[in-house]
Amino acid sequence: MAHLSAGKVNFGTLRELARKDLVTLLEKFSGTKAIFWDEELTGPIGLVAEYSFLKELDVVKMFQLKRGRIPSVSVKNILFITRPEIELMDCIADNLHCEENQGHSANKEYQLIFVSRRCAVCEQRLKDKGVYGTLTSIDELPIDFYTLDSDVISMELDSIFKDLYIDNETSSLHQIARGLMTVQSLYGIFPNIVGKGRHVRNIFELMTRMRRDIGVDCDPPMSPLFDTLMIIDRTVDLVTPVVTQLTYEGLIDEFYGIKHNTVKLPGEKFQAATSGGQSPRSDDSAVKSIVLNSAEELYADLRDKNFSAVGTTLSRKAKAISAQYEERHEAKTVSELKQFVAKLPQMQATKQSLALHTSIAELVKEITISEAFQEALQVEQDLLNGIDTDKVLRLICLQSASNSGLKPRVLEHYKREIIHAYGFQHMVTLHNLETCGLLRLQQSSRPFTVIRRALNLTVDDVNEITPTDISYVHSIYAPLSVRLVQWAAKPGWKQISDVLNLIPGPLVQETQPISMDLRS
Amino acid sequence: MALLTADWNPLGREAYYRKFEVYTMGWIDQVNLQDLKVNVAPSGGPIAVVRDDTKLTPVQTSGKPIIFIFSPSGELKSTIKWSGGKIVEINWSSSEELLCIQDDGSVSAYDIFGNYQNSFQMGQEAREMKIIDARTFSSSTGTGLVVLTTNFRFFVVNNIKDPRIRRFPDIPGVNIAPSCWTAIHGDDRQTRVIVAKEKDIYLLDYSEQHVTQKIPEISHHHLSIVAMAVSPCGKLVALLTDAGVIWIGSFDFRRKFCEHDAQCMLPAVQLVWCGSGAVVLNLGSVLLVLSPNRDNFTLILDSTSHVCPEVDGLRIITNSSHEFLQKVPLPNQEIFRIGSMSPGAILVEASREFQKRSHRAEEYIRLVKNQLEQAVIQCIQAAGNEWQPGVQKMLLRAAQLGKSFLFDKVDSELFVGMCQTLRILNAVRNYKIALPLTFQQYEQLGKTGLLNRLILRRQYSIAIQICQYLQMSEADGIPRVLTEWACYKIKHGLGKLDAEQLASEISAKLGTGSKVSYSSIALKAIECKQEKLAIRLLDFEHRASEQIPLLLKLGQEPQALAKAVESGDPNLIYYVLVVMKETYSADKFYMTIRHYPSVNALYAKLCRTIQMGSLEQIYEQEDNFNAQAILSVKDSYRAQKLENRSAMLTTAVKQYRQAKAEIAASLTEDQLKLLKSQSSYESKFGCPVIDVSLNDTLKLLMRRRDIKETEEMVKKFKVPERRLWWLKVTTFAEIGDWAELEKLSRLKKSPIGYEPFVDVCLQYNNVTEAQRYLPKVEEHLSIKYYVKAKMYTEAAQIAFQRKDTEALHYVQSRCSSNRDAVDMINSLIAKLANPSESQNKR
Repeated sequence: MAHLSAGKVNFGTLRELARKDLVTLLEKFSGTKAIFWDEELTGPIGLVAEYSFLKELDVVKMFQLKRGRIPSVSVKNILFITRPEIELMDCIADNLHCEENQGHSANKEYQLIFVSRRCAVCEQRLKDKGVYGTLTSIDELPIDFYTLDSDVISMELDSIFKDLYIDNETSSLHQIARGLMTVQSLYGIFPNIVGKGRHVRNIFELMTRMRRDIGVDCDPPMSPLFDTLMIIDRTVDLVTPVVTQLTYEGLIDEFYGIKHNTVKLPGEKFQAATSGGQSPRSDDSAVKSIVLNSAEELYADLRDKNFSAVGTTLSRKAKAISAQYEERHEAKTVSELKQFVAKLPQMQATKQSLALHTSIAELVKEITISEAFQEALQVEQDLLNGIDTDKVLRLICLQSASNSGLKPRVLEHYKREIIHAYGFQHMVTLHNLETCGLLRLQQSSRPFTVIRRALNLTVDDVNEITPTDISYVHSIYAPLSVRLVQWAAKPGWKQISDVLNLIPGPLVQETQPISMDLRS
Repeated sequence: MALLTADWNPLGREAYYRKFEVYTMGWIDQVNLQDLKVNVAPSGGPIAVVRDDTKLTPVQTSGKPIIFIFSPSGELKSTIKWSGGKIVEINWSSSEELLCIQDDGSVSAYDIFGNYQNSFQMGQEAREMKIIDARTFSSSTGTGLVVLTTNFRFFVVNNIKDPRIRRFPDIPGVNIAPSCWTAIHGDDRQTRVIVAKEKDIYLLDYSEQHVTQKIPEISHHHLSIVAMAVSPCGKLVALLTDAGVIWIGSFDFRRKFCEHDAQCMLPAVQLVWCGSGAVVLNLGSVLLVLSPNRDNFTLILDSTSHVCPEVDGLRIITNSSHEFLQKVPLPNQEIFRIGSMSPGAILVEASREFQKRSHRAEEYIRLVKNQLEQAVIQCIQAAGNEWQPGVQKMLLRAAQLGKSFLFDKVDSELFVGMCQTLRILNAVRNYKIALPLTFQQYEQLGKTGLLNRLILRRQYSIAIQICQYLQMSEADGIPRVLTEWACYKIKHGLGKLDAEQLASEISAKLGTGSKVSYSSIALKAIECKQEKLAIRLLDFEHRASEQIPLLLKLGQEPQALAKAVESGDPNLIYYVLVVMKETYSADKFYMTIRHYPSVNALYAKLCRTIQMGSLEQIYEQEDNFNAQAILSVKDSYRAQKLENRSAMLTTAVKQYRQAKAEIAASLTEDQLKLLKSQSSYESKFGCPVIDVSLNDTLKLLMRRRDIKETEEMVKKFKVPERRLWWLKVTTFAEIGDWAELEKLSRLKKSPIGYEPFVDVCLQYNNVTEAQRYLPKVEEHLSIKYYVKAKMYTEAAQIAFQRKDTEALHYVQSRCSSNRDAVDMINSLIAKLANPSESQNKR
């Protein structure tokens, strides 16, 4: 995990903290342990601690949390590690009832651990189900942010968009603020907090409040490492998530889905290529799981390249590596030979990684050259430039976003077509899309056009191979959120205040007081 | 020098005991200890006295006794007019609560100011049998209590704050009252009772429920043991026989250290230890001090006395003074003993000369040069043990002088710390505050302990000054004192000030720092039935988790809700909702939460996940017809029977109409119609059709070649022509009905173009059929479509005819594996590039 501390900010510390919390918690329970995981957590927690590490903490077995009887294991502690979700509580209650009926509960202890926070509703549910007393302890594992890479941390909360923008349910803001407090505790108080959008002010206020409750004199004793925290509400930029990503990593994600740094790919492509490559966990031969992060040099190099530049990079690397292999013929003296041998493991690794990514690139290419993809991309790019066309939901949403809403007639037509083609159950889908703003009616003004021009969101002559502007990631489109960050960095948001007014949600520009001796 | 050792009494060769006056009693001429039962709280605590009803005195007032509480300097603090049952014993707890133990086993606690605090019982047996005696002891967890019942059973409570009653095993033998007994709490956290029944001594152990008899070797003739005392260190025990003989031995009674005939024939008042080095027999106005080596001396007092053992000595209370008897601490002995040549003594001498500006100071210093460090430490320690500020100063001056020759070799913390401690001790020893703590007692009590004592005495101002002086942390420093002050203020400000005034006075003093616990002050206000004040005070509390439970307790649900929303903590909001749900009517509940969108949303979620309430009601309350409709739609999918589904969808239509969502209403109506048709198809075709989309239903009909029904559906649902064509094209290809497809293409000009025709043919790998439609493909798409059909030559020809080099390149790029085609296209490109040359060649 050395790559985590390689960046400007050592996010390894954040991971270490999470690991420490996990260890402290597990050490609380003496004796052997079996863990029943909420399936959704195995990915994120995998980023914190691997199984071998847990084994050292007396974890004998791990299972997936599901209803019914739990497998019989002879351990002292049964640990349920879950998110605070009602359905999961019902699972646990079910498990515990079975255990009690079978008389297992007498010589075991059952511990419940919430990630990342205890939840009164869930605990009430357990009481209602009559199993609250069976649990020996209830704890929380306060991990809010997971370190994905040397420069990316994420909360890995899948349901947050639905909660916030469809159900209007803002509990998760508390968690966000709490997570940011943890970040502050490690890297210092953010001197400036700026942001845009519906929930930004709320987050800022919660952070201020939490800081006051801890006591300002309990501030982390270090000079701030970050200059500014920028919070951008997702609804500020609903265009970017519906546009196809065209970088190497982006396309892998589009086609195969990267979750918690791991992608699952069809197995047959990799039989020959990677014997012992990137920590392959071959669950079954049909699917191959590959961990993607900057620890792998080649991937770090490739991940953010536009896909059209990937081929040349791969072949250049391939040439370089074979040239290195050729050196063995030139090695005349023993010491030269020795030097060459010393380089071998590195070369082997590079070669393997090269083989792996060539295979992945082929998989991706198969799709990118297909007519369907090309056409969809064309439509997408036309839409971004403000020309109407029709396609499926994602495209409709893009059309809505890039035109600042749809004309009533068009919207009605789409709705009717979708219901008639895909079924009436999509009434709910459409309702949700409208609630969160991905789909909406056009108003008299069309701010997106203005924003697009002002912030230069679409760029015609994009150099995909040696990019000079972020628009290369979508070949013509520069993400609005990225542009906002760029403007904030230079020359500042003051310059674009007119444009910011067109973007929904209030603007937040605040400073947090920091004691004199911590100011750098 | 001689002056300081004047009150020293040697006890054996090594030890000296000194007695000095702490206070002249404020009660002089008013109190006669002779007639009173006295109890002194440990560590310089207050003194409680009550008329001793075993002694005959003229009664001035009839009836119930009065308990007087005095400060250690003899100032009357309060009186308790006793109205309860017969008091067996009054005793102080380690936290300075006066425990009044009644004969029915009920124990009531009072503070220094005579305010009732709480009470507890010593169990049923004690109540029924009545108790005749009681003793307190200090346990690891606080103060413990042992009582003796009339049937000679002992009951113990190890911590009066958590009274759990345990019974000791019975004393064996004839049932007569014990002649004396005591309770001890050892380092092993076990409480034991040593009891003497005439000559026999028993050790009772409740945890193991066993009794051991102890037989001390007493050579003097006696009939019974009348008093006993265990040393503070727990290793020695002293006994007094009815013949007036004192026996000192080991705690297990196996070893005897000495036996001394005190020759006292009158009943002794008290037998106690002074430290662990000497036993003191109090004979009223005479004290006999006896060491385990049988060394002894006698002290004559000016009146009847009461003595109270402390860890490091003995307090002596008389009618006129409060004195302290202690073994002279070693450093002080070393320095002040006559003729002492200890380093400290010489340093003190040097300092004395130095003050006199005499050159001999230097000689003394030189004399002690090699032991200067030890000398300094001796002086500092000795200063701590002195009562008179003058002597303290003298010793500290000597230490300071010595220090200046040592540069950094001696830890200055020691010196500074002692100066600080003495300042504090001198301040609290003032007779007005009257906390006569010795250095050692203070060490045992600690800073926090001292603060607690001051708070108990309502000495808030000096407590705060001490916090400031010691720079104590926020957690146990000033905010704590202020909180206590505020609680006091509330309790005693009642009736004098109104809630608003009181609240603002408190907040003005306490500020809004996060460390002040306004919630605990508010709790006090609630206890004093000052709800209005409590609510007002809770406004100042920052921590929502502290504030909200109290607001709920006060029935301030709306305010609790507002605070919970501010905190953003979903757990807190949930708590408030649970309480409100119970106490409020449904209407009031909605009216309260509707102001907060986030609460509304959370409540909606709770309705969805744990059925906390009904979602419909929320939406009805809000007139949110759209959400109601969506709910009806969702519900319709849960219904089993078709008529129920239809009914729900009919409701949805109505709700959509109310929401003015015409499109949704008409789509739902469509669905109703569709369901009806689908159900008839299901019975007709015998396969599941319900829940299939309209398009798929149409395709199903087309696949069954049910033209009539298809037409009808198209009419019924106003299916647009373009879509119908699309459906037809894809369905015909799917079922391989190429003839029907062709028929369709001839019917009229296709509204969707002919590209889909080609596409579906290619999809099913029917190139022959595809060729039929390729010429009809729109011109700008034709090259692409020929390529799609892998007819590269034709595609290239078209491109060539159009003189479109770019298109030729495109075709070439798509057939790169076909060598011939590539060559052919190359030549075409060449022709286009240079038409004249190619003509020449020809």
